[in-house]
Amino acid sequence: MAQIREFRVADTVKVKKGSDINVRRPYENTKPYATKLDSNAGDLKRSPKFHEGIVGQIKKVYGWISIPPDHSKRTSYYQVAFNLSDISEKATSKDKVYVDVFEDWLERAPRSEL
Amino acid sequence: MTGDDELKQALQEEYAKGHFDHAKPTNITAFKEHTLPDYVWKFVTLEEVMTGCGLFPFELSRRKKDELWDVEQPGGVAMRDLPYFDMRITRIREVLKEQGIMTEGDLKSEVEKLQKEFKDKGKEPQGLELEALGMINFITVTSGILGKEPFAGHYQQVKARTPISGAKIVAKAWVDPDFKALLKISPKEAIYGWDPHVSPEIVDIIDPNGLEVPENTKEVRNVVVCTVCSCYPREVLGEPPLWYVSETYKRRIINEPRAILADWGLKLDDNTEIRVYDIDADIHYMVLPIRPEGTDGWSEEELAKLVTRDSLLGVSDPLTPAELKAQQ
Repeated sequence: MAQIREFRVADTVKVKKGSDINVRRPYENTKPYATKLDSNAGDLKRSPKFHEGIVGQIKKVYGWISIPPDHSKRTSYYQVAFNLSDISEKATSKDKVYVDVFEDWLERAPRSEL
Repeated sequence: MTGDDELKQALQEEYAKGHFDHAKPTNITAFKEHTLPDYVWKFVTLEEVMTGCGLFPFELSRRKKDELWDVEQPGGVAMRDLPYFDMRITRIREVLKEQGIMTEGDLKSEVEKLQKEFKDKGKEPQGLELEALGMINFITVTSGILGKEPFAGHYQQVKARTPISGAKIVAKAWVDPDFKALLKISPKEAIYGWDPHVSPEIVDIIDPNGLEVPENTKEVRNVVVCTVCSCYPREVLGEPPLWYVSETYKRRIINEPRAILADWGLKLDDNTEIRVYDIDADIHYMVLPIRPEGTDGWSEEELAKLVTRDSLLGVSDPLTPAELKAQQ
């Protein structure tokens, strides 16, 4: 079965605002381990939350990876660069954060938003 | 002197220097950075063997940590204030009890046996040493849930994972352009397939994750963090240092990377781009630092000594020849 990638290197993407149920994101700004977990929901993807709703740029394409909770579905996996100045007021325009993100969590964004 | 005595002496020296207390990078050569108390190595082995053979999913222990985050543990300290390895020992103890694999009484009788043994030998246990060894004894001997042999075999592998492997890889990349080219495209191919002298003495076969080795340049500085938990390139660096798993680092490196690096003695030019890699369990990262100046003609072995564990994570530079001399 052929699988087609949605994005390529240098594409501009935005991280969708998603459900917290199966994503463990302990390090939110206030309480370090504020988790909303449904223990019956299967395996968890562990991910930071700070990139939610932020626009970034694809830097690398890794191939495919099975996706939680039940790993029955595969998705492409990307290295995405975000400007830390979009996340923190104390960061400069030269500070970036690179996070590896599932294709399912990404949507296309206009280049002007980067 | 026996191996145990040597280790004990080495540890005492390290403690005296404050190396286990480090809230910030110490930036000492990777060849001096690999000592941990033996019971910690054994405990890490137990953790990996138990989850590796499916006794319980590792995620359970992460959830246990969250559940007990604010709960006071025996000894009067909440989970979040426990030292890193004590936290890991505590959460595994709780998971084993919850899963009905080991009861409180089982552990108590193991600990009592060990207390007597330690007393007879005149040894002082450190931290949660007795609990860790008690669990190991219960799982591998008393209950026989796991045999001693898989444990002993994996223990050798766990102990072979030290930042020395990372240092050797970097030194090879500094002298061998072909190796470096492959390391940047396909790090695992380079490390495990290119030259057996580079790979750890005992290649760890339980190594399912990917690896990336971003290179520092004059314009770009790479830094590694795991803000969610403590993902770490263990296959090439061993167990993480305490500053790496501290909440201060996790928070500040995202919010003000330039400031925390400056506080830790790494002043970067305003034009230098900082790339913070927030890594996960699927792909691990190790930094390839810039070769220090004044090392022309140095051999691979000499160069490897300049590499520090902290420079492989990006928060420090490798040692200069003068700094190495001062540390020796």
